[in-house]
Order: sequence, then C-alpha cells, then structure tokens
Amino acid sequence: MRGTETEKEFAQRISEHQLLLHKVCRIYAFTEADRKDLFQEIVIQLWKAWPKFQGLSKFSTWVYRVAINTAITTLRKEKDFIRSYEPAELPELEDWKESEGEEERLQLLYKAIAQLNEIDKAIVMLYMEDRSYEEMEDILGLSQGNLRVKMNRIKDKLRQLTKTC
Amino acid sequence: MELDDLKQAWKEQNKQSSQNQNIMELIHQKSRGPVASLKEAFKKQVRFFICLMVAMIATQIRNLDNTAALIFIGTYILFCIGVALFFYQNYRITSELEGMDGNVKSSLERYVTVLQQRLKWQQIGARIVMLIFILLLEVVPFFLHGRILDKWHSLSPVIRFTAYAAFLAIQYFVGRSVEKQKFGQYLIYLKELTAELK
Repeated sequence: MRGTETEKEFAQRISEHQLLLHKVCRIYAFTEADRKDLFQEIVIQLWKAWPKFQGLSKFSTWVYRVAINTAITTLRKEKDFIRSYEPAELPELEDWKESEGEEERLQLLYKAIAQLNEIDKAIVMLYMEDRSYEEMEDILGLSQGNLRVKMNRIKDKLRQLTKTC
Repeated sequence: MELDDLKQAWKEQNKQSSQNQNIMELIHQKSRGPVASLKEAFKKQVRFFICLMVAMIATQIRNLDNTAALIFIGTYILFCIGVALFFYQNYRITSELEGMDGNVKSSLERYVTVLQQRLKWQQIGARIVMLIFILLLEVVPFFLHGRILDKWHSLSPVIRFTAYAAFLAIQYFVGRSVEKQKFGQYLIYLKELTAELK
C-alpha cells in the first residue's frame, strides 16, 4: 500500500513496537477477535495522536499511554457492557493450550491477571516488562511510592489467586 | 507463584505469539470505539436537522405570503438551527475525549468529567426542546388552524398544562433511565478506575 512519508514513518516506528501492543491486547482482551479489534483501535488512536508526539517522553512510554488509555476506555460494549474480571467472562484454564512447566504457569498467571481491575493489570504488565517505577509513573500518573505499595498488594493478590486456581 | 520468576518466560512467550500486522492498512480504518460512535451519532443528528431545515425552506418558500406564516417558519428554522448547534456542541465536547496520549490518571479524570458534562447538556437540551414544543403547541393555533390543534385548545388550560407538566416529568425520568442504561454502568466503571488512581 502506498502512503505519505508521515504514514510510512509512523508505520515503521509502530512496527518496531508491535510486541508491546500485542502484550496490551493480550492483557485486556480474551478472544482472538477482541484482541484484533483492540489492536486496530490502538493503532488508530496512536495515528490520531501522532501529530502531537513531540518526543518529550520516550516513544515506548507514549505508546503505552495511548494503548492503555484506549484499552481501558474501549472495554465498553454497546449493549452488554462487561467488566473483564467478571467470573463468567473469564477464560477457563482448560481452554488454553496445555503445556508443562513455565508455559503452564504463565497461562495460570494470565488467568489470575484477568481477575484484576484494569489499573492493576497495567501495573503488572509494566512490571513484567521491567519498566522502571519512574516510567510507570509517567505512564499511569501514579506516584512511585503509591506504585510500590500497589505492586506489593498485587503480588499478594496474585499469590492468593494462583493458589485457588 | 512469584511474578519475578516468570519475567523471562513472559518475554519469551510474547515473542513467540506476536504476529505482524499491516500498520499502513490499519491507520486507514475507521475507529469503532465509544468516542467514535458518539461522534458519528452527533454528526448524523446535525446533518438530519440541517436537512430538515432545508426541506422546510424548499417546500414552504412560496407560501410565505403573510406575517403569521413567516413567524411560524422563522421559529421552525431557528429551532432547527438551535438543535443542530446543540448537537454540534456535543460533537465538539466528545471530540475532546479523543486525546489518548496523556497519562492514564489525567486521561481518565478528563474522560469522566467530559462524559458527565455531555450527559448534563443532553438533559438540558432535551428539556429545552420539550419547552419549545409546548410553546409552539400553545402559540401556533393563534396563527394556523388545524383540527387536532383546535381540539387540543378546546380543552381547559388546567388540563392542558397538567398534561404538559406530566409530559416534562415523563421526559425527565425516561431520559435519566435511558442515560443510566446507556452510560450509567460505564460511568461507574470509569469512576471506580479513577478512584483506584487516587
């Protein structure tokens, strides 16, 4: 597909960060169709915000902001509003591809993360991505002290959740 | 289960599951998010009222032979312009929600504020439309005569104004209930998330 220089530059930079976007989609959407829709919506929002990106923050920080904001506010369904942590909407562990060891534990972790609220999901994801508390503050707008307290609580909650699974 | 033990697996797993998407193709797609849907709805309403106004002018321009008709058509056109402007204002307010590049806390706070503001204006707008409608029902029979309007005006003013009051009350409760159904849960959800960030 042909495109303007701006479009090409944008596509190039986003392509380099596709992994990051897939992680956000995996955390916030459960079905493949929902993930595809969310991915598309995030890319559209990034494109709309692109003219305002002035490089004041790291590119990945900016991408995380747009992606998380979009995921959180797009969760609303037109008629049947769902919250991702409603038990009935959660994917079953058996539905996931069974594998031994770390992969299985990772799937278990995803199931537990699905039961957190949308903010805690973002915090866990950034933590797992080894983002510094400074960058997390920049993305979420929470103070570093607050983030550390929240992270400890989330770890406890995830321990509890994975025990009961 | 310890989170830190899974960091490596987390990174590896994401590498395996990633698929390449055509970004150039995606940026030309239309947004299907709630903000885009709201904007589209307001845009359609603006267009509808402009079309209604144009249609009225086109069909009635030859009939403007007396002051009463002129006042009536003039009021109708002003009403259409007013409603179209109201929906445009809603469209503009909703557009403010599109900036997704702020930090999550400030974006969510702004989102909640703007959404509440929009809902408030929607209620006010609906009430103004109802009042204009009532006003027209009371004033039009002085200029134009129709069987239904004459019948309505043959009723006692007490009955008429009680009906108007009931009409306004129904509009108020139905409007609130529809809003609650459409946005209530969404707003509660957003407010809960905002509270999490405090």
